[in-house]
Amino acid sequence: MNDKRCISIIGLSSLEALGMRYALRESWNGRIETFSSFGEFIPFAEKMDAFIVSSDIYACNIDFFLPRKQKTLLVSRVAVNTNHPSGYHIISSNWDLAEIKGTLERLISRLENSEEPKGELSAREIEVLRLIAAGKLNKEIADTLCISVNTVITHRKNLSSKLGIKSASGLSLYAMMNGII
Amino acid sequence: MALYNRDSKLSEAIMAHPSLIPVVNRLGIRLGVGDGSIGMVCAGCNIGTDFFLSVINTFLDEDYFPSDATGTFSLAKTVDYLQKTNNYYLRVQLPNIDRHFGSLIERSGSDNNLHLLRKFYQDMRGQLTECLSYDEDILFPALTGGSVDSVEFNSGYSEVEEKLHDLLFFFVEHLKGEYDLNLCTAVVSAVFSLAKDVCQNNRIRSRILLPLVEKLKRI
Repeated sequence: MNDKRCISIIGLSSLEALGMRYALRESWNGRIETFSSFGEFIPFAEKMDAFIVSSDIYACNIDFFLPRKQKTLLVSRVAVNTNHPSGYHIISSNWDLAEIKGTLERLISRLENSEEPKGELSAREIEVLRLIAAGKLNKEIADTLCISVNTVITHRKNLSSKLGIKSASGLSLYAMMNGII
Repeated sequence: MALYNRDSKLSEAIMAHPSLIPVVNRLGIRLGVGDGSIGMVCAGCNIGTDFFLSVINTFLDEDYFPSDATGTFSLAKTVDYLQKTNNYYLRVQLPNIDRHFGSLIERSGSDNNLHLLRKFYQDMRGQLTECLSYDEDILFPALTGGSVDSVEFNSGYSEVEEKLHDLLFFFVEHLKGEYDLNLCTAVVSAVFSLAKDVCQNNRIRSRILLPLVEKLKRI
């Protein structure tokens, strides 16, 4: 499990938040942050990997949560069926603890099966990026880093996939813009 | 997506896909197409309907692979289409981006990274211009002159496609600082339009022109 990842709890009462933390700790070793309002949460939003949010805050900020639907868990204070047909991931405070834990485990599982966060490059990938930006060919990069050309090609593919950039000159520009060279 | 056929109404195809306008222009059809079917309009303009359908379907649908089952595709017409496409890049799309990009930098603050993006664009532009010159000076004369055996296709277009994608991506994800919002939208829209056109015409190049040349080589 990636211990840098963080689940945010937004807009729940102190008691609800405390209970949620307790339930999460059964299966989550990462960080948990609690925010009493959306305003308090939003400066940290980009650093959060999943969202457990009260239904009223969800409804008022649907533009934010809808694109992050797979990583959002809606906390309903009214009774809802465990197989809610809306397609949203919902948890209800009237469920028993086993149902709540099961739903949280599914959220964590979706998080763990998701891709590595975009833009998070390994030290080796940064070295390869620096050499690409210096105009080195695959063979030269392989010789410099004492790795095979196939490994260099794999690093290039990973860089393209993580950064969303396809061309070598695009990778160079990215390196320049981000102080890597 | 559903493919167009000879009975489809041309006006409906254009209304659904306005990006077809320059394509049908290059094929010799101007707006004011009436309400006739593609077959009728092509017959009226003396354009092979099968060829016309292959071009527009290849242009619109990346999963479509045309087949010259009737053997009516013409090398001369395909080259003519691509020549008009290249001229459109050179005379309309690239100058349009140049102009908008110049105004954008002129009217935006200095605390942004637009200069870096323009340098990236200019490098891509240089590469695209080289590809166009190769077509005009070497490839097209060889194809229309009948020397198909010796022709080689320039692989630079796929790199241009990648760089256009990256340029758009840098605008969308990495643009920083103050800039003129309207002019920036104009640049991004123009780059987007060129990127789409290059990508779609590369398909016509590889799925219509290349098989035609391969077929002629075997004769």
